[in-house]
Amino acid sequence: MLRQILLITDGCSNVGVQPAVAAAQARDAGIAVNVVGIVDEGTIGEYGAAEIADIARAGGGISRIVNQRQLAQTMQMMTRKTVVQTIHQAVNHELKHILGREEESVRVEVLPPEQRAEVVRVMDEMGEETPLRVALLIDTSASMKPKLPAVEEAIHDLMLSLQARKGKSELSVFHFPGSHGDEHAVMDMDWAADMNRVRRLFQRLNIRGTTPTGPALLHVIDFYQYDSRARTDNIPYYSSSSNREGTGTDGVWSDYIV
Amino acid sequence: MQEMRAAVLKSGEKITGLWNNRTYRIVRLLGQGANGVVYYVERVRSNGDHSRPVEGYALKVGGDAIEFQSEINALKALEKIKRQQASGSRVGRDEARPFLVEADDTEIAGQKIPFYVMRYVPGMTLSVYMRKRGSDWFGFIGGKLLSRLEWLHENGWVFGDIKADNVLVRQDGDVELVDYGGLTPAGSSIRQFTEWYDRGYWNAGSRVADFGYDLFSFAVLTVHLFNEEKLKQRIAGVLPQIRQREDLMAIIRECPVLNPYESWLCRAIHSKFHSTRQAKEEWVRISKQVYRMPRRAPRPTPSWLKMSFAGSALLLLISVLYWAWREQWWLG
Repeated sequence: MLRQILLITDGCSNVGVQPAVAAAQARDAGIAVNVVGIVDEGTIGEYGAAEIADIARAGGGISRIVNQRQLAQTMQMMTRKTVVQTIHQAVNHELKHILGREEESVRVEVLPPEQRAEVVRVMDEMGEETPLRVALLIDTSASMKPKLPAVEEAIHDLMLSLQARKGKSELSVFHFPGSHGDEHAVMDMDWAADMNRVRRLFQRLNIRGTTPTGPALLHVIDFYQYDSRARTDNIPYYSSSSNREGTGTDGVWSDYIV
Repeated sequence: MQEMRAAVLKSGEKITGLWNNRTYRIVRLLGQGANGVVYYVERVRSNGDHSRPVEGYALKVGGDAIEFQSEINALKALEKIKRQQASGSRVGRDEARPFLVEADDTEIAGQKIPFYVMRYVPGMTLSVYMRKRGSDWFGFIGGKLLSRLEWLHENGWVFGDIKADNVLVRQDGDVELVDYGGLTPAGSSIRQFTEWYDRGYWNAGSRVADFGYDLFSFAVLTVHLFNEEKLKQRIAGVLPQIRQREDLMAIIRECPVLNPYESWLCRAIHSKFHSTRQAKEEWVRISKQVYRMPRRAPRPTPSWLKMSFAGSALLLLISVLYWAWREQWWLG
């Protein structure tokens, strides 16, 4: 199972733990964190841009700052890239293991062309077939309000891309802040692979001024972890179909990925 | 995430493969693909063998190594299919043209960067071609493009990223697809696409690779070629959630060149074809009819003619006024 959090925000956090710290915890738990900074005509500010890059770096993901029109395409691209990257990291890790060398130079990129071709072919299959979960975490502070229709549209578009994958792919949606002080994030949609559930997500929003990005991230991490304990269908390994003829990797990846 | 390392190379610079040890000299930039830069290059022969003519190639220098390798893998797969088909049958011009000449790594500024070499295709992009040579070519070229797609589809692949920039027209009017970054095995999710051309973007179906996906993009391509302004207006004016196939059909109906193809395009947009072969045969049938039809609309008046007419009318007016002034006719 590949796990990602995609944070969509338009500014700086101002309450609670530093978001990069929360993102580092997510990465520790095997969840990659991507961040989209969304801007109108204005800019996101130097501080906001730095924070966005910071969160993605700590979370082992990608960050981009885009306007509303590019949002759907960007989210789609990031999710795909991060899937490839997660698998890439796992494969590099395994290569070191197999070749018994610890130096940085052991990577897929430096394999001889023939072997590289074969390894990447298997990686492509994994990227297509491994089950994937993406939790969207959406900043709904006051300045985000006019951008929410574009966000909703982009979520819909992302669902469309996920549905095209061969592996099971699910989305969940959270927004932050919640309606009162202790509530850092609110779930709008539980894990779903169904297109129709994506429409009209943000109906009853209590627009408040705070932006507790860090605590909201922690909330989603907890959700992921609670969820994986509570459910039996959440089996943490690669689908066996991606481990065909003699690649012999079944079960080897699992301890790293999950 | 590692950012794409777009290698900028100047003409005259040389690239030598680390594994196969072949050297190429950069002649000029051809274009920037989604994942790498493409140059026109010449192979540099070792030991000064100048007897053979210099061969020109297209060389793509990569960004992200993994993405790049999947692209090479896709080209290799096509190459393999073609070789299998060519063995046993007479090898024609097209069969002699390999998808992939070689793939290798090179070192630029101390960094290992992958590259691959393709046969260079002289020609221009579809939009430039249509602008220069006129819409008469459209039916013919459309048929050629559908033939290319038919071959891909019959062998289990979907091109994915069909758009005007990715279709190259050769001097003889035949076409080549370039930038295979979107090439996807049928049944998987489309690897790379362009928003306007995407079936999902128009709420017209999934992003699963099937032949209908390419045919849909082909239909959008025709709209893009002949009515780009209207397409842009629609995209800007319609809310994304209600964007739909009917928007495309409305633009098609407004376009005289596309009129004879309306029913074909409608079927492509609604995924009503059973196969690409059927779609191609239908297209060729229509285009043959179009070429034999008497012209309904005469060629548009060239702008120089309009200008000279306006000029002479102005001169006439001036002379009449001058004559009237000289004669002082209003004074009787």
